[in-house]
Amino acid sequence: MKKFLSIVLVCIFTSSFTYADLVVVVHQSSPLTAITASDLKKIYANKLGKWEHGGAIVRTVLKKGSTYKSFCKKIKKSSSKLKRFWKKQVFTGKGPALKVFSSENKLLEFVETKEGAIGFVDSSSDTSKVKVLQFIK
Amino acid sequence: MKKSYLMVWLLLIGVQSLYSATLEDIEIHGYMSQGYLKSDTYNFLADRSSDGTFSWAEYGLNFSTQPTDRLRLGMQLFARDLGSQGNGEVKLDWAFGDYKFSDNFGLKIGKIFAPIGLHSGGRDIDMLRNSALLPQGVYSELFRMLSSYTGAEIYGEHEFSENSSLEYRVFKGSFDMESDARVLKELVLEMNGTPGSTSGEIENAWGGGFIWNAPIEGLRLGYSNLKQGVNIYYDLPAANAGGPFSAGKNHLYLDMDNWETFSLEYSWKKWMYTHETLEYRYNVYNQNTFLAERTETGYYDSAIYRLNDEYEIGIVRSIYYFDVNNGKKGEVTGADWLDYQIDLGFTLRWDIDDSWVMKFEYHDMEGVGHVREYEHINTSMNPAAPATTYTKKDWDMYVVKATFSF
Repeated sequence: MKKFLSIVLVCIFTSSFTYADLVVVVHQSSPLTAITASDLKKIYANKLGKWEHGGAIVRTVLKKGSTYKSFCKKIKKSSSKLKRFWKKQVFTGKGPALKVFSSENKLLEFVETKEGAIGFVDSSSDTSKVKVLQFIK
Repeated sequence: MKKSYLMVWLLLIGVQSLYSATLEDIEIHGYMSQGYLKSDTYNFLADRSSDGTFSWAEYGLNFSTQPTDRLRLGMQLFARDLGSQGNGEVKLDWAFGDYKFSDNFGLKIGKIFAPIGLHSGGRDIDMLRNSALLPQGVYSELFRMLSSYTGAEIYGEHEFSENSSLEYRVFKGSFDMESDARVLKELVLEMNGTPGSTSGEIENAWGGGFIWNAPIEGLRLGYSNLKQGVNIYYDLPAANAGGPFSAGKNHLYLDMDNWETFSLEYSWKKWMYTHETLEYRYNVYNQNTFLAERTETGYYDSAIYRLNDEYEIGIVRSIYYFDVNNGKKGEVTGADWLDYQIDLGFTLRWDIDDSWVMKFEYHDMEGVGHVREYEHINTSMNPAAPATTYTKKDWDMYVVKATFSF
């Protein structure tokens, strides 16, 4: 029991991070100029699967890091819940997997080439080849 | 671990490295779980679990594609091993076409996870929840055949406001009953004293469920109900025949008109509390002769705390009562521990990375209501059945499980 409590206490005190400023990006062909917090939340909750202007929504995320944490906060879902939720979508047949990228450059390259893609990156990233959406709270 | 399972693990890892999980139009994903069960007294869930056993594994491999914005097609192959059940035989876990008329309304046709409680759909997919061992009070291994049905379903979600909605599902179909299903094996053992040939089917089942996402953030309330008739066919030796039990072929029918589940889930910051209650009522007939009426119930409460991205701890108390008319909710005393089972479980989930999950659990058990449950039914229905030999009310169970997914 003592060992178990020790593990628990170590785990509690080893978690810390800072939040980053982020921007929501989509493929250049998207007619959208802005996205609401509500729609962003619905997209990543698999409640919106199709763009209003047509085409399937292709969701991307970063694997980890402060930008990813900041995004999770924005859609009001913890990192672990978001990952578990999407595993459930995949393994129960409810939806496609999130496209996960280990770096912002790789995510941006994907959004640049994939119509219907949406993602988020740090505001300091080079977003010249994608479209940055205004975020409406 | 058997050689064949090691081969499956290697094959799945190979598939992952070959395809990196995604082809252009077809997504491929998979998972594999290997568990270890150790009971200090009874062989619970798996044969020889009292000695400690690795005979607990699940494997899934799925393929899906979205040919149009509205249509989604997919299937999942599944193999499992739990004691003498499964034995690694590959089966179809789910396979359906899903057409969305809009983002809020759709139709599914095929083999689909049933809308029973919060965990019935995907009960074998270990990485989706905190505990490796599902609370048996609501998700009994005896009735695992109810996890998916073949038929059709309409589903949707009605939004009341930005923070409140009602998700609903209504289905009609039939459930497959595996020939090695635990419920069949135990029933036959009780009916004729020795394991024999048996088969079963559940047709014309229908039901549905809803989940209300309440305006209080993190609160979900659910209800589901299932109506079904269970047909079981078995052979009875002449020595055990008598009354409604015929020598030779017998037909046992369970008329289950009410399989109700209530669910409550509340997430607050790093905490999650869940309560679910299951109650099912059925009449038992053999060769069209009424034998018994039963109402069984079970429920559980669980509290989970997410420590950080890697660790999550939980405590779960699951209770099952064989017959609500024969004492429940603490009223049972003395030898009635044969008819209930209380499981107080302590869990630790370790997310090693996005692909690997390890779980460690200790379960403090009281009663044996779920240890060869159908012996009790038979004792009252068929006096020729062998007597039970339970000796210990309190016992313990240890669980370790590793899961890899891609």
